[in-house]
Amino acid sequence: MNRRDLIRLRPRREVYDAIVVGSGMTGGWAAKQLTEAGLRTLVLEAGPLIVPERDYAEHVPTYEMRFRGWGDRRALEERQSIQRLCYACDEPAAKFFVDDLDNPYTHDDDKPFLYIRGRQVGGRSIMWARQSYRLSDIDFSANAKDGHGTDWPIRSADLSPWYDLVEEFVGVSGRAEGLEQLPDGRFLPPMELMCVEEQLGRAVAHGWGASRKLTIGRAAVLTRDHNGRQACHYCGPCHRGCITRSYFSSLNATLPAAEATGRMTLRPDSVVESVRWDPATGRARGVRVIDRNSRDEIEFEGRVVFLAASALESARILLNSKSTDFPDGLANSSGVLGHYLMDHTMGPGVRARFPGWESQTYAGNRPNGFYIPRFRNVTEPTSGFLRGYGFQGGGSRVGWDRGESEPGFGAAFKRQMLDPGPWEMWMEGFGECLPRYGNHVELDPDVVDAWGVPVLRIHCAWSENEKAIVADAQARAVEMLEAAGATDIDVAHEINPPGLTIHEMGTARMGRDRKESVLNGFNQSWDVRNLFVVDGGAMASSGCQNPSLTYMALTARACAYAVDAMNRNEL
Amino acid sequence: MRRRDVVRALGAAAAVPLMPAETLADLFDFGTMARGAVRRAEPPETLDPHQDATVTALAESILPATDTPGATDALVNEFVDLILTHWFDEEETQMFLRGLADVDRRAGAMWGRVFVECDAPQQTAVMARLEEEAGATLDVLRFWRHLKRLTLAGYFTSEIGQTALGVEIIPGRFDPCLTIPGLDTTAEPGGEGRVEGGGR
Repeated sequence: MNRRDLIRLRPRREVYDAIVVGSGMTGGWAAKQLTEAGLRTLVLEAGPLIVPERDYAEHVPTYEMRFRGWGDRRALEERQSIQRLCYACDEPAAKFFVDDLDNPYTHDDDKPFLYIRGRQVGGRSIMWARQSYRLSDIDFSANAKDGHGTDWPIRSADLSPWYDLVEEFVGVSGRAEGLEQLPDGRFLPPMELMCVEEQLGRAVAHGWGASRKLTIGRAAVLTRDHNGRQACHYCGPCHRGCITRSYFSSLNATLPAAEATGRMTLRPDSVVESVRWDPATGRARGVRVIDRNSRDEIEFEGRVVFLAASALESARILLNSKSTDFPDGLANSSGVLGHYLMDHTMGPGVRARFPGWESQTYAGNRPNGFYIPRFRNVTEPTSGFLRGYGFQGGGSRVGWDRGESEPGFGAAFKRQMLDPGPWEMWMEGFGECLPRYGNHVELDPDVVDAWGVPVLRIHCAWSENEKAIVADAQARAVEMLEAAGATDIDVAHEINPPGLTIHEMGTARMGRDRKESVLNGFNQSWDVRNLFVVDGGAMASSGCQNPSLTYMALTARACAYAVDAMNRNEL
Repeated sequence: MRRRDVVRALGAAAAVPLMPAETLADLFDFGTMARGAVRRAEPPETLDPHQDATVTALAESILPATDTPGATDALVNEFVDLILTHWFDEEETQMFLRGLADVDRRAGAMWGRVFVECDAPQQTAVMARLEEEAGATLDVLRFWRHLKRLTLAGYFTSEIGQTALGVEIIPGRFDPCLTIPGLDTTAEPGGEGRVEGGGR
């Protein structure tokens, strides 16, 4: 859309068929599916438009970066002191992360939470790590089995066709392994493992038989041309964008598909402040928006409202949508809105050297690593904790930056630095987080953001179960690396505060009982029938798998349900 | 493969989504991508001319011109000045500048002249002494580490350094297991080289 369309938009008063709040992973999917179903859909995005040909930066060489990839330290410390803690917030990609001064949040002093955000068309799907895994019935039945959280109202059979649909559009490369805990999908050809990763895989197979399996990561990166997008050219830094649209993002794939229908109106710079509720009809009427630049307040009306602003932002919007009938926030008759916040534990990682492979190297930058699916409490029971974790990792050869701590200078030293350094392997566990009522968000009574919207006060900490998962994952990583002949095994000790894994979820969970959950099994509000929450907020448990694929599958299923209900005039 | 070729290879598939009309004209003009290149015409902001010359000489003695260009050619001194001025905090910058003065004191004690006036073997001797003392004294260690880190980064992230490393921005392929030509492969304890299984 061009600027003239943006200007025309304001005075026009129309009721959209659907309003989608957020243009990232799930908002993009909702936009595509709703418009393809014939709905005139308004997509609201809090941040600016991103133009790939102008804003993507994956091919900018280091010598064209002002700080050569070190980042603008002073600017980061001043304006992005939280965002900079994310590995992807590097010099070319820092612009895809929010300004922490404009977008504050608060937390208890003794419970740090690292809230990593991207506000722009495409959202965080621009910078995501692209790992794409299905949940299994082990995950969907976990709450019912051990009594933590509320039972998922769905099982694999309900979601499986929607995973198929999403994978076929997105393009997920991976290897089918036939594992109960990690269902296979519709995969593009897998990427390849490096020699040292194969060495680790052999050691795992030898030492643990069928109990543990090392496989290539399942990544939303194309290994062949797919749906008009081009196969990966292995440049490496996907989080800076991708001019060939080889990895999936909403900006690369779903939003263009929505735009192609001619039924999407995309409005960037639209900070949604609240959902408007009509007490006369008991329905959501639309949303109230604050223009990011002009600060003008604008209202948009729609027949259905899809919140896809991310788990925490959607909870914030609903908590801020107060009325006489919903004094604690819209769609919150259950009182669980904002509660049961989860994130995955990530690491701390284990690093090791792999001597003996010096004559081998690799060419190209594979935007993917290996994966060891969960074995704890699947093939290897433990009484030490509930649920489990999966491992992600990868091999590489250390580069010239090792030279800082290596002796020497002069011609021989330079020669050495031009050669690849030792083989290094890292791996880290991604652990499931139990849903706990106490991990929750509320509106801070005193603090507002740059647009005057109350910010979140986040109360979240790891429980003993997550700490036990982290300790076990480290011990199992060390034993596997040792079995593979690794040396210099280095175990990091400090656990990341929650948030940094950027898998926050659960704040508007779905369930079977409207007194215990915000949404039914179709992501539909129990209280407000034409309101859907399709981002990570809907998750009743976290599994240990990277969640974006599941979010999109849930979104696809919710959209189909909503369209169907609208066609029957039931919505 | 260059970026231009990659994009061309997209052909009609490049649907150019979500793009304001005004940027269309710039679409294939990747010359604009080079904005912010680092070669500068102005004098250094923090380093005085003598310090600038000293940094240049120190960096060159760490990464000298050989069959590939050295630190001086790669303008490592300009990168050092940028970091001292816009990246380091005040304490780090002052520590580094004190370290530079200390180099001259050592050169004076050993050879009776400042570092930049020493010949190559004399400079090497000063550097060797500095590295040796870095193992014993924290202040020297800090300076030595910073000096090497800045030199390595300034060199290897430069166009000269990236070229010397053979960095390909767009490799166009991923080969998981390449044998490096010219290296002795008989000492490989893994022994099996490229094998079946895993990702192959």
